[in-house]
Amino acid sequence: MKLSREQIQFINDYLENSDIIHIDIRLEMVDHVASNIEERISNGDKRDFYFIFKDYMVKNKSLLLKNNKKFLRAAEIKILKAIGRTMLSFYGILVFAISFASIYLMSINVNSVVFVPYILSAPIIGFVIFAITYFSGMKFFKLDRYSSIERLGFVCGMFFQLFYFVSIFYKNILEQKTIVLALIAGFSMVLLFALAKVYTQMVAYYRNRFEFVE
Amino acid sequence: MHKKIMYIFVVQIEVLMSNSKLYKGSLNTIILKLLQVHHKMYGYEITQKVKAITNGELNITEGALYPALHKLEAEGLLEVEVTKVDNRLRKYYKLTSMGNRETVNKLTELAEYIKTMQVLVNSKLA
Repeated sequence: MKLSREQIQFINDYLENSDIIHIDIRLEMVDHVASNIEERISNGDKRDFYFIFKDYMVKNKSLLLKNNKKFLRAAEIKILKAIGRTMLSFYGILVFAISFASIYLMSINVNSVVFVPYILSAPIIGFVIFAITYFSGMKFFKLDRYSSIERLGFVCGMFFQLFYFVSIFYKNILEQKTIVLALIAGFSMVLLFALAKVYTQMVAYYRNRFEFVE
Repeated sequence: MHKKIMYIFVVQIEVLMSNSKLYKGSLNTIILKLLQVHHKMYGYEITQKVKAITNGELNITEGALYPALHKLEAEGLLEVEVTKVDNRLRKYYKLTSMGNRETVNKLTELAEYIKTMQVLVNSKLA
């Protein structure tokens, strides 16, 4: 016996309310729970769906939540690898070289005190604007949340915060040592490039696999 | 035929199962071997297949299975296909070409390991 659309929706809502917020993780769990319940019914369990579901959850809920955390860790590893690959790709190195050269040449001709704060705070400001737009868009349009896209934001947010702290604590060094400033600016630009490229790849990945499934 | 190969394979794995560390190390090989034989499978199907082949002796929990599947996917050994089945979406896993090569390597490694262990266990060490 197969579960009805309403019963599947019930499992989905329950898991979503249990903090399994990402659709790509949840859909697999919904299928697992539903398959297990269907098997129990096929094996002769005559009880109502809700009692079978309750029994399953009492026994397995903590395991499912633990599984959710492990999935997020796997997503982070996947993202870090993708970012690393993009940064070391031909275009990544090109972005780094152009940014590095531009900042270095600019700092020779213009007093670096003028533009150091802008260069170092630009990535974190850009990232905060991106995050606000993303979450407002998700809430306003009620879009599904995907784990890898959000973990990508989390990973990059950590990097950008690091740049920001560097800019606060080592401001004097950065103003005097133009080569260090150019290196940091080059690195933050290539990271922004990797963030944009991996984000595009992730969106395409999810579109191909999830959104157009009929 | 496939069922017979899987049975021999999983029975061999079972010898190692009493030690949970060895079990963890063999889980990826079990998944890869199953996918090599069955082309594409979903999570619940994998747990049930292993249970059926081993007559209920070996039970892979979802807490162990899904993280392993996601890790194999992140490593590029598996690819995912999502299909709508019975009012819900189902995620099927299948081997990539890299996954196929890795399966052969893992099985060879495991066969060597089992052979060495058998020699050690059967020999008169004293």
